Amino acid sequence: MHLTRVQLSNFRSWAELSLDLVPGVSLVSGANAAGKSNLVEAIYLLAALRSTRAQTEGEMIRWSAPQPQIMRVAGTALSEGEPTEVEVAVAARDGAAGGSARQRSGAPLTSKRIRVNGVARRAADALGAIRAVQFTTLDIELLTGSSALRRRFLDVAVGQLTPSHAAALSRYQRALTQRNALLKRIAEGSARESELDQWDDLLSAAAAPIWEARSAAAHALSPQVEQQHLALRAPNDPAETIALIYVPANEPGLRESRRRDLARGSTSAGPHRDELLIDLDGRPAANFASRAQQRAAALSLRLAEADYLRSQAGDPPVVLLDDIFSELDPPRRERTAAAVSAMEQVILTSADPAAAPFARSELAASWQIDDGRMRAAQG
Amino acid sequence: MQRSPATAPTIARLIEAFHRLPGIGPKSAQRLAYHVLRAPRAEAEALSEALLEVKDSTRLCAACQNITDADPCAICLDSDRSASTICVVEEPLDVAAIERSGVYRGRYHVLHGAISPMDGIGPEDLKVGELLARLGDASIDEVILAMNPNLEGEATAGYLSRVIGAMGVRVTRIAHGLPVGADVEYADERTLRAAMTHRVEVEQPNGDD
Ligand SMILES: [Zn+2]
Repeated sequence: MHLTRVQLSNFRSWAELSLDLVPGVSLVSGANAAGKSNLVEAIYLLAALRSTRAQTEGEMIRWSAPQPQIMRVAGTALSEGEPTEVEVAVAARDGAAGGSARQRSGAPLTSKRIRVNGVARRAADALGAIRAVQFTTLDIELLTGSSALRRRFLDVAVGQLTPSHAAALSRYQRALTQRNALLKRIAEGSARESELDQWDDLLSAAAAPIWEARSAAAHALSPQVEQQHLALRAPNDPAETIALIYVPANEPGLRESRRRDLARGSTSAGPHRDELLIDLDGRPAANFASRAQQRAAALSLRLAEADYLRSQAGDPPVVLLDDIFSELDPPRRERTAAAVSAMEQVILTSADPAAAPFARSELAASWQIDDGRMRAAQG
Repeated sequence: MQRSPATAPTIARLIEAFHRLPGIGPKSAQRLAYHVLRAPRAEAEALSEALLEVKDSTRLCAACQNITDADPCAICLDSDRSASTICVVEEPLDVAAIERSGVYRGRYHVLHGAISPMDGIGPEDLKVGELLARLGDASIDEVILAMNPNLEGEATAGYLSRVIGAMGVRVTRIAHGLPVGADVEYADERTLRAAMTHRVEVEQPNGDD
């Protein structure tokens, strides 16, 4: 699929922006903090329906937006000739715009509205309408960061293909919160242990579809990661194999771990504790790999994600590359460019256009951001 | 809610009172308050009397725990209804919804909520003890669980089916015709009729503890 049009209104640094897009590779260049990453974040929001950067959704609203403060991102994608329009709007309440004020429990400081082809949808029902993969310099955290980031990597890939996954995750999360609250109540003596029985049943039932979906995704992603990693390797690189190993936290069962759970006051097994191990040459990449190796592994994961979405949906996702080339060596730049060129649409940003491994003749479009304005770059 | 200096304090107080009601936003609260202000005094009196009366003269039926003017309630007194079946629901409004469907001719039991540990609600905070006391009577041969199709409703049904099943009473649940998120109280009559008619036996856990 490819985007034909993207419109931003009061999104971070952008007051208004309307962009007509074409298939192929498009380059957006501009100085640091010119608004390139904000543009990529906005486009990816159309697929993920939540920000990958913002702590609170209020952050996405331009701080100087006029009252009532509303940010809006809309985009139209063409998939096999069929247009789909997605719109995400976030409205601030009580001056939440631009701030990172924490949400008080239960009372969001913003409200979000999602529409697909003009019809209001819940996020769980709108996922997958537009599919995209985002590459950023932060992807190295997939290797070095917490296991929550790797679970999210799997969940985001699954969610764009199987929208019911989002509903399954939120059902599991609620059952988990309830069981943990009950464990604490039992410890305080305000509830009986036998009350755990039905929550054990509900939590186990809620966990099953998540394990099934994650396991299927990891199974499909694993050979694709290996293949991408091989393709990125330079001829004189040391032999480096990558392995993706999904370890569902399904042992022991909830009944068996009850004693331990009561003692620690929280649930010790379940999808919230799943691990996705990433090994390089048989050793954990987080501890034993160099920065450059970790960067290459992260790149392989994203390329595999794009391949996975393409093969499962039968249609390539929109590929967004946010300033990733400057930290790659020239051979890996070339190989990454070759890998993503197979996709229908690639939008890449760069502070240093010379680092972008595409000849001018290979670019379908090129823009330059100057003083918050987007203009077609001179050919 | 913000108070505007242009609004007299007495009106602001009424607006706030309406705003506290479930489902009433600030705009609706304002509309209601100004409606009362413009209405004849008799209408305001009737409203305030009705509000106080509902607090002063309603109570819970000692048998089914539904809200009633007279104890026992009309349903518990009705000798044409079967006394051997009890349909357990979360809220009084669920009784009204099932009654509208016209498919059920037994008795009810209202729990006044559902189990939710994160809200501090356990079985002791619901009318569960009262239900178990009714089941001591040998004439009850079926308990129908009609909880809402959400996690808390399912947890409540799971808990009750264990406890009641252990007493040797047959337990059934209304069919999963109710879509997730469609509470009993809001379900249309046809859906409820189908859900009640096609209720399913609850499997008793046999010693897997
Ligand atoms: Zn009664």
